[in-house]
Amino acid sequence: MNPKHLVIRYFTPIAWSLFPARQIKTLHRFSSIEKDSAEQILKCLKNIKSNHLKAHLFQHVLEELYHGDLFLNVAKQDSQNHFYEEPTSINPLLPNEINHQSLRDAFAYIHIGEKIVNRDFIIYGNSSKSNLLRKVFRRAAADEELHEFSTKDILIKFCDSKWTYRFAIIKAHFKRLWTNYLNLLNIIGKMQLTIILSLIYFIVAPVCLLSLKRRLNMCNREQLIIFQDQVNSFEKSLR
Amino acid sequence: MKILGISSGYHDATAALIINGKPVASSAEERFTRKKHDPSFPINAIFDCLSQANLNGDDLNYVVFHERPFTKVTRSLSSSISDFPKSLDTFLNLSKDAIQTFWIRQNIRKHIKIAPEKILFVPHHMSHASHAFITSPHKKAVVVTIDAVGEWISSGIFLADRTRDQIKIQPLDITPFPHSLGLFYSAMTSFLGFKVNDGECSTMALAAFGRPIYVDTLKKILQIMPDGSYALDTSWFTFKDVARAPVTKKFLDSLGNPRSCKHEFLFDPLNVKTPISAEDQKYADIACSTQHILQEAIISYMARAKNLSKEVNLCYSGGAALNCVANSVLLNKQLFNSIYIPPDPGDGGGAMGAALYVDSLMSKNREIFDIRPNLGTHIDEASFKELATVLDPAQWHRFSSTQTPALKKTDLMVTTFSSDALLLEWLAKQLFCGRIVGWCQGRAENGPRALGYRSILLRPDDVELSRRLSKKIKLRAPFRPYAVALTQNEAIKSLEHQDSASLSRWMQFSYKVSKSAESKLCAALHIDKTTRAQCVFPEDNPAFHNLLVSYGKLSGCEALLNTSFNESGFPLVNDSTDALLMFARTDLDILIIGNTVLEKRLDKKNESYKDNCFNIERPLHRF
Repeated sequence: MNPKHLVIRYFTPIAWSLFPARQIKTLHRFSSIEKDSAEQILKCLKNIKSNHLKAHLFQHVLEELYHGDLFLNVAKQDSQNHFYEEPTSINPLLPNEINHQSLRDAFAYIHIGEKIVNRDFIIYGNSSKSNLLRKVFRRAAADEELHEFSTKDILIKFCDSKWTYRFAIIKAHFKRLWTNYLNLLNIIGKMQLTIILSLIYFIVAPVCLLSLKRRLNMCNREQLIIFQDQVNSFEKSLR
Repeated sequence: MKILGISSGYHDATAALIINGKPVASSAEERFTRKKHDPSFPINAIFDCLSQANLNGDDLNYVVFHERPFTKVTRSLSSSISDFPKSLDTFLNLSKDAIQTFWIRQNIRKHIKIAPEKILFVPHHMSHASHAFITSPHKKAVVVTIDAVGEWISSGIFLADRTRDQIKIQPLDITPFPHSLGLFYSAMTSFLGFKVNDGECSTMALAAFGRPIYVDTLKKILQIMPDGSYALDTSWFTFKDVARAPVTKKFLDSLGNPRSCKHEFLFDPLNVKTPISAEDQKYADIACSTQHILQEAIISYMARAKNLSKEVNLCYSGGAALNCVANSVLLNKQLFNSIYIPPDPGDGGGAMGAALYVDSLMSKNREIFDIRPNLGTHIDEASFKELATVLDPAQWHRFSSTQTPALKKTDLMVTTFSSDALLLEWLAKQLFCGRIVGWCQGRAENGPRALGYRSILLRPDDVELSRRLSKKIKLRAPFRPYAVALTQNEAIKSLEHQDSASLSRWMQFSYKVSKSAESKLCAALHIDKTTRAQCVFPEDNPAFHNLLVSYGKLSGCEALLNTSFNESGFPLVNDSTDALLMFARTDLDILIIGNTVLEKRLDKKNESYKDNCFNIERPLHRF
């Protein structure tokens, strides 16, 4: 068991029983991940010529969407308050101009993703106290195991040699590492930004407060004049 | 002159392409990313618009954004700082969004090779006003825009004129933030347990089940002035984050706790005998009072617009123009000789409006054109046929959340009809037999409503069928009614408004159904015996019109229940694969793309029609 799996196995059940909101958030994240995965495969499907491969991927998309529904439904059942879906951020695996190589890279990335998520779901399933949740994780894990093998088969079809296959897998591992590194930087960046913005808030806000309140409390007439000025200056700049 | 309009950053990001003053393409980003109301930069929509016109980014004269990001940011930050020092979290959230907005010019240049000075930013309400007026048939009109908020403004009155060589749109009056009808309605929507920027239609639908007994309380919140303007008492709301906690303690003390979104309403327009709890009735009453006061505010604001402009024609846009019940009340008041609402009056339409506005400033003597509601992606029948023939439905039922029946490979049949006439005749029979059909033809709608290009169709007189649609296809709350598409002849016969046929091309109004037609349209009727009708004209959508006529020959009623071709939580389907996915995941019986039909040939035990639909002769070949 790697350290990540140890954390999931022993700390997640405690964290989830202490903070039920955390569990809902995690389930929602899994739903987003599964739906995101479906969309990525769907995009690959739309750019593939072989009809039989398309049919195979179509089934794969259906399964990923269904997993998304399963996690979302459990999250909704457990949610006591208003439930707002947070928008998922999809980092497209495929560039705008799609070719054989970009499809191969995408499938390598998807294959590795299926492998990781399969292991994660098994551990989460074993750690879950709720029967329903355990069932959902095990169902998803069983399907993901099949996906792991099927995406490997597809990837092999896209590779003309053993070396190309290995290269694609290594490239996908590096891409995953790079993405994780960027995500980490993003978190650090956000923390720094929060500190800077908090300082701005406490230093600048008291100074600007009066003028901002005045702007907010302007009457319709004053706001109309400002708006007319904006429109006039825009029109003047174009003419 | 080739101008690309873009709207993004809040909800319904859209791109629209204008060539020589006419819109040639428009798509929402959600159709490509399949994330409903996707606010992200519409890169897929942009490429789709350009490819439809065979253009590259270099060919564009201007790229126009639908609002001024800097002005918007100053408003967001001002409103958050005004509560200093209690608003740090709001300030942080808004600042992070604002930082992203600042890079919009760089974002555009990253994808489109265009000089920075060719990227323009149009005030939000000018985008809406231009969209409403320039796409209208009027030479002179008053334009009213009512929105949640755009930069510092929430609604505006404009005088628009194209009687000279150039179009002139002049602001006459505005309502500044935070006094906003859109924000008021969204906040109430959130209080009622629906999602903001998505569930407003649920508030409108729920209103029909309630009584306006909270109007006096709500009038303390939304004050309507004698001159037609309005003001919000902001002590009842916290508008910094409408989606999460929009109401204050004062509000809760008066109207009680917000509804939990887990709790499902049992209201059903198709079954009035369902027992309703006192708590549910209270929320319906609040929804009704909200709708009531919104209508009152809109009517008085429109009267103000008429007084200020002295015009008899109205062009109307902004998010509030999607409220078809309020639109109908406005129509019945007969304040104006004519009312024009574009097919996509919300923020999505702002992209087209911004581009049209810049075009109107750069060009002279532009002719009035007839706007098409379907400027989206063209559906590919050939790829659909190829994929449909190799699909194996054996596992579909295992991965469907709607308990669809198990299918064998032989239960799925693909056929291509040799002519439109044969297809329509066959399809009319299938619909008459009670089958539910996914219908995709030509280019997709560019607004939120299905207008016969990406629609689910079924007979409008079968309540059980519409229940099946709600439960096994759309996963939709039973209190939300469906819309109806009908021919002009049928509209004259069935709807109680003399101009209903000419007014309802794009489902902007709801109409009272005449007593004699109630049984014919019962599955698409709301509790108040109204329906959101779309009148289909042969020149607008010939295939759909002919289908209605063919169905009318069998049933005696040239009308079909018409709802958007999408699953719950997803946007309208865009291409054939999206349509196939929905066909596989739900209990749809037939999928039609162009002249190709994919059919589930399953003998349902619960089928209420005894006719054997499968015995209908098909003069075609099977794959």
